[in-house]
Amino acid sequence: MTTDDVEIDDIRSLVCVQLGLARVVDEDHLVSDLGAESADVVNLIAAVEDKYGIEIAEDEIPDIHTVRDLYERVRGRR
Amino acid sequence: MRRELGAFESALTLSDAHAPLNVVAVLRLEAGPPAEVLERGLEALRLRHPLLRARIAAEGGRYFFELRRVPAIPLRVVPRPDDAAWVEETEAELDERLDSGRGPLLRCAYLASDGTGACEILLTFHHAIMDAASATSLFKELLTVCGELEAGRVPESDEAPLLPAVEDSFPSAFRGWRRRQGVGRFMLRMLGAEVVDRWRARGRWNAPPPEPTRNRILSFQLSENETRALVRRSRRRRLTLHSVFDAATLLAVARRLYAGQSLPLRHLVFANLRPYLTPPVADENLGACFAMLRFTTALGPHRDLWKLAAEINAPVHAASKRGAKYLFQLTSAAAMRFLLRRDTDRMAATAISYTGPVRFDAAAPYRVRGLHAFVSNFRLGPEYTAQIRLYDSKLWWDILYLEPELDSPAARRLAGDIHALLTADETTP
Repeated sequence: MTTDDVEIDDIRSLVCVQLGLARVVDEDHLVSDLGAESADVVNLIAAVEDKYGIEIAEDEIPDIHTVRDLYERVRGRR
Repeated sequence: MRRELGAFESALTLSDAHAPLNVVAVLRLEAGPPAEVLERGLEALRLRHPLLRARIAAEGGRYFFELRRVPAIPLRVVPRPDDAAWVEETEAELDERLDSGRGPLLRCAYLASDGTGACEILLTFHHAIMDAASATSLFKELLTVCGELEAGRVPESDEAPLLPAVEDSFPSAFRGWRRRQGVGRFMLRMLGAEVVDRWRARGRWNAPPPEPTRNRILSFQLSENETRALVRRSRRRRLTLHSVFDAATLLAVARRLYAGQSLPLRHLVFANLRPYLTPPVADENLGACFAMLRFTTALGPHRDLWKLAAEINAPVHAASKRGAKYLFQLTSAAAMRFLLRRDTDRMAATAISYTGPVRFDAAAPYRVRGLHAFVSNFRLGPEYTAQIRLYDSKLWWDILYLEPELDSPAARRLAGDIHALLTADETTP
């Protein structure tokens, strides 16, 4: 799978699995809405990197606030 | 206008009353504004942020921020004989208490150019009014305002709010009767852990050094390549950088200050509460919106960095999920009173604060060469402390130690050990 084929559903599912949630919406804030701790964010970013073969720099992480931000980053739009 | 200090703000104020607890943030610029522009910039910030017009009034064992009759932010222009002059100046700032009863709770020193154009702005503030997030934001605001003033424009911005005590914005599970219940259980658990830790250590922890002590600092950086490699290794193992930094510091301290004995060591970690508050608090709003958590980890002579980091990562994550960051905050004033009254114990062996990536707008009027931050320590505080941030794709380590407990060569050896641990070639996949 290339990052062009990624759908936001894929990212939603990944977030649900990593944070142990049943459902998330695109505008959910990973920390303030979904309660992600720093270790959760590391797990989530690492899972995204492994699945899509990309590397997200440490200083990009503060720009990834929401589920949609993560999707946009995977698609290379950020 | 007045507002009572919250539990953690009170703990920081109690600590400051015992020994200076200053945060000194150092902004290094390639070229800075004229001193009179900086003075006007500070005044603009003072008018915008209520806490920069505050003093702390003590009444019957309680503390209040009072926003009346507080003088302007003092600005001291200091000669800059060389590029390292900021180090000595920072150490002096760490040791000199702010007059919190009179205010203001911030002062500024400006190491003006030595002819090269380079300069440093030192902001020294009371920890109860600012955390790392808001201090960085305040520096950005100061540079923007000074740039506007230099361009002949009048900076315009609305007055920032005076935030309520941080515990008033905790999630609902940590408010009201549930808060009281949670605090009671947490204090009992902490008391039990204290007894167990002391029995396991059996008097082998280092005693507080005699007075007087002096705050001394040193800094090092990981290169861009070293930083990238470390981030990759940490992420591959699903470990936070904070846990890895904590592990490296504990290993170095165990080796250098405890001769590699097998014993439990206590370590402080810090958590940014801003995004977890209801509603979340933006970095632009000044306040001490952070928590200090203490953990105990078993050390031995041949511990592996990554295994130790994993042992630290798991309980820190679990405690954060349980809401320990709120409970530590709520019990901090009582814990500080206990520590100061006993006057026999150290808070911990190490204290690590990783504040994450810091960026300055590339279009800002002044080019930033570097950013440092240090927090005063005292004889009952941790033995070795570090403030770490990612800036310009490099990890910046700012270390503080107490003299005469450690001398400069010993502190540098310890820092060298940490650097070596973080950059060692991988021997395991």
